[in-house]
Amino acid sequence: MPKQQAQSQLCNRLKEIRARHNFTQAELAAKVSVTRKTINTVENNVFIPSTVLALKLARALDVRVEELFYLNGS
Amino acid sequence: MALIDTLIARRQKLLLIAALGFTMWQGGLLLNKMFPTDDTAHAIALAMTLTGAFQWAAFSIGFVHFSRKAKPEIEALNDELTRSNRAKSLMYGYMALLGAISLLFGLSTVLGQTRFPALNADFIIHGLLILAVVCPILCFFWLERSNA
Repeated sequence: MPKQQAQSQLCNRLKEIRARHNFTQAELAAKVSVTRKTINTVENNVFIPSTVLALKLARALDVRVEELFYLNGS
Repeated sequence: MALIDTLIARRQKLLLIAALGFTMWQGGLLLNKMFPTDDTAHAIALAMTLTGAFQWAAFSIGFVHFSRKAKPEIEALNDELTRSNRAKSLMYGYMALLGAISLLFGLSTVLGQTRFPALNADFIIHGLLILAVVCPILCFFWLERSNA
């Protein structure tokens, strides 16, 4: 699947769930050992995280990975 | 500013110093090869080479210092977005190299030996080496700065 197609299909609620937990991007980034920019690019759908990072984010935010990431239209 | 942000800013500065330093250092040597008998060109080439070599030395020292400071944050500094940017930069460097070689090959084929002068292999290889080193560094710098 082309990357652009994957980017348009994959959506996330990272910003919303992060805000619910009162985490800043920097705080969440520190929890999952990435840079703030990585969190920012994931939130803005610029960068598609790996399964490992998606699972780490879900664990850090105490949600299931399907709540965090979902396919467009599902 | 958090340590990680300081380190990211320092890495970007180092990348820029490395790209500029290498271009000036090797560009000066290349200029000297282009005009071996011209005194003015020789003076400019010498100034460029010395300035570039000084910058490259500063980069090397800075890189060692940076590596020591970066140890506690190495995982975050080398996260998957950075690895992706690095892979993209190498791909862009390869494309630039392939483009330059194709251009030279195309010119030599289309124009023939009469209108396209025979080029010194040493000069061309030196130019391609500069491109191969500097292009990925600048691409990585640009990718690291974008989407910040």
